[in-house]
Amino acid sequence: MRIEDLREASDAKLVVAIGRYSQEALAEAYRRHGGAAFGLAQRLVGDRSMAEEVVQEVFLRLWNDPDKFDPDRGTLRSYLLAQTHGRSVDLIRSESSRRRREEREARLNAESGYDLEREVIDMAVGDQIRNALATLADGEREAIELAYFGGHTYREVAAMLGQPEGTIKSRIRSGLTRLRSALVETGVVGSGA
Amino acid sequence: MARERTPAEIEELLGAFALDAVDAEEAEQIERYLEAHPEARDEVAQYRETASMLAFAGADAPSGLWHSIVASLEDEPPRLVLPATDPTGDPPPLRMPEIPSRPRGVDPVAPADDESAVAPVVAIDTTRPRRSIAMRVMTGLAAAALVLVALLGLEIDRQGRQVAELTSALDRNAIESAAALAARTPGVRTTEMRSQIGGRSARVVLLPDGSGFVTDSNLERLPADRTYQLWALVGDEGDPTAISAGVLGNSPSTVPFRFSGSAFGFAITDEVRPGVVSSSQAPVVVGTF
Repeated sequence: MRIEDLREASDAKLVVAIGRYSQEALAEAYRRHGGAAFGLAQRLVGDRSMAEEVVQEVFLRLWNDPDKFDPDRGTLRSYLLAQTHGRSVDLIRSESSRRRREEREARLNAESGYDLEREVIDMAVGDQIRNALATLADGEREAIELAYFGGHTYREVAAMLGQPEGTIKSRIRSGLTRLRSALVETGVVGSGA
Repeated sequence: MARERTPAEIEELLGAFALDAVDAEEAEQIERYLEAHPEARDEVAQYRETASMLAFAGADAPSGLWHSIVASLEDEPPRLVLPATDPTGDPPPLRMPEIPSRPRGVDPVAPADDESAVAPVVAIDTTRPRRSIAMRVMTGLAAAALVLVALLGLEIDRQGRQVAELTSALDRNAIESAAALAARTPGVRTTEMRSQIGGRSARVVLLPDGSGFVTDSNLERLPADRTYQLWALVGDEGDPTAISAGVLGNSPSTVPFRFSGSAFGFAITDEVRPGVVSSSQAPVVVGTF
């Protein structure tokens, strides 16, 4: 596949090309999604070199195991970001000192209010996402923010917010469901998986 | 022993699981549950898709990071023996260990073409489809005798493709800037490789982490079917070993490479494209640190 073709290729075609050892295809995947993956990793681990390690590992995993990406279950972007998030969370949970610092920071955030909108400010679809976020109840936003961007477990979030664990589980789930409905309504994400 | 959760309890955890917000023991139970419940798998996939929309996306992907990713795709390069250069005369040809004859490419059914007459060159069919796990095992058993040569071929092919892919994926100016920055980095080692005659030269800039650049080259342009190849010189300076550090193309300007071993110098040879496992050519330029 030529480089010009790769620029136009769907994520699924890109991953097929990666499966055929096309480094051009991997480069295109990196061009499309490397920035988002790096931004998320850096937001989570709070350290540039560790974030680079995470992203490198994620793209190596894509190179070595492209079959793990299932286009029927979501976009390549969401797949790579889920991988990035998982690996970042593993890292911050394995470093107790960093973890304590993260918790302190998250507690400060919890006291001073959340800013999910700021996280999406530069996205092309930022307006739709901000509108979708506006549909969430405050408790849902807090729980999702602390879990997703703080890298905390729901138990930790419950302790931080002084809420029962069951409440936090429910808020995360209902918040994600509500958010998804709003994004589907505006066409930002498809109605399928 | 961990308490086994009910399906209702697991369903309630799917949102937290999608955000990696459960502990390891819970994650294990949920993953088992997902294997048997496709609708729950879909729900998690939807949550992850939704969460991914929240991730910051304003920054460009760091180009230096892409360089690291490409470098980490490389396998251990093949080795060959290089005799010491004679400073008083023409550089001697590279001396190499016995390399068995090999098929063209890693795919044993890939058709050979006329270029296969060039013995040391190994190429890969880059459109070769990846096989399923079962097929990999079966084919692996059948092709066990070809594994070594296939790996050698893959290495050379990857080195050969590295230049083209890097230059296409990264902005040329970014490479030039990275090389200039590397040259000013504390701990960097540089060597000016020079020819015995003709005033040809090129500089190697090697960072402590093994990443490096060939810069400031005035090597003459080669025909399209030939390429310059970079070799790291390691071991005893009196009887050095040369390790392929990358293929530079037929008209190199600034080219990134990676070599993590302990090199005391570098050499460049003129080879048949896409590069060779072992060389019989005299170095065009040689330099030591």
